[in-house]
Amino acid sequence: MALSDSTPQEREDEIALRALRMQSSTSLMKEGIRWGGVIGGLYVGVYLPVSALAGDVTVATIAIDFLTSFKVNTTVSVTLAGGGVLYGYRERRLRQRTIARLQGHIRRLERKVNPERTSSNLTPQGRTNPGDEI
Amino acid sequence: MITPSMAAAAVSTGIMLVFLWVLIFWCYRVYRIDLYRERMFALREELFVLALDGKIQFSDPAYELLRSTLNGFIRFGHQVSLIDYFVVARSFTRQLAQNPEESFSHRFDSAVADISEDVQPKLRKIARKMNLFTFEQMVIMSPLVVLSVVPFLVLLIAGFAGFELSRWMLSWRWIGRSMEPVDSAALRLGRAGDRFLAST
Repeated sequence: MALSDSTPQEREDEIALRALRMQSSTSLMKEGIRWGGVIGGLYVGVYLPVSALAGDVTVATIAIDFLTSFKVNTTVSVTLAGGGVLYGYRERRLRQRTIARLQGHIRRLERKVNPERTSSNLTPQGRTNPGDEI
Repeated sequence: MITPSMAAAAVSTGIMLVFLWVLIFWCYRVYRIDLYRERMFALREELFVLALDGKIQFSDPAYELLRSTLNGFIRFGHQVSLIDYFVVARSFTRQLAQNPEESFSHRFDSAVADISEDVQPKLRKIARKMNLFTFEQMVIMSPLVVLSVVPFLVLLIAGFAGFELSRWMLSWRWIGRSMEPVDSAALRLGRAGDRFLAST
């Protein structure tokens, strides 16, 4: 059925269905990019050096020159270590942000029901109250 | 001549590169999806509190429209990227041009017009923030952008400018206009999800 002949409700469902179909195709594309990078990295970083040791010294030599360069090695290791630390820190902040949002929401709703509610007195982020630390 | 120590150094760098790729395209990606959903949950909560305080009714079309759209974005937050944007925009732009009364912005504007004037800016701010966060998510989640220097520059500028930059970006009307197909798709997906839940 053509979309222009259908009712608004049918058009709405049809659009939702079409969006879901399109998402499955773009998911495939994105997975291809992600896994392509891993496979490409393993090929250049592991397969080529090993094949070079076995005597095949053409493309592999260029790749090895690049990968063993001090600058590349240092940049990659520092970025990986720094990225890992930053990732952990951001994840922790996100967790605290979620706790603060949920705690505020629960407090607001509970106060509506019971204005005399008591509290554990943790910080909004769910950390120990500074006054309770010995 | 390739020596074993050179090959070992190359392999260790190669493996580190693969881990870096995994950090960016798996760990960081999951973090960004969680962050995006958290922002959308916060906006939905902001909307809920407006209704809880009696500034807007739970049955108002503006409330229902924004909530369904936010639900659509929350549910399909893992799919928000530039690739999806171009596919959705290409498919829906003509469709929305044929039936402009079914577009998100048209429905939202007419629904908000019925709300009291002091609450209207609050609802529009929630909608603008929704678009800004979705726009940011699309840019950050694009593999090509991630591999370029753009996100680092954006993070650096955002870090310095902070809230002022966000306020300035919220005033960009073109973000709202260019997000129209995605908003409309999210609204349909959110509503389809609501109907599915109601039927089960």
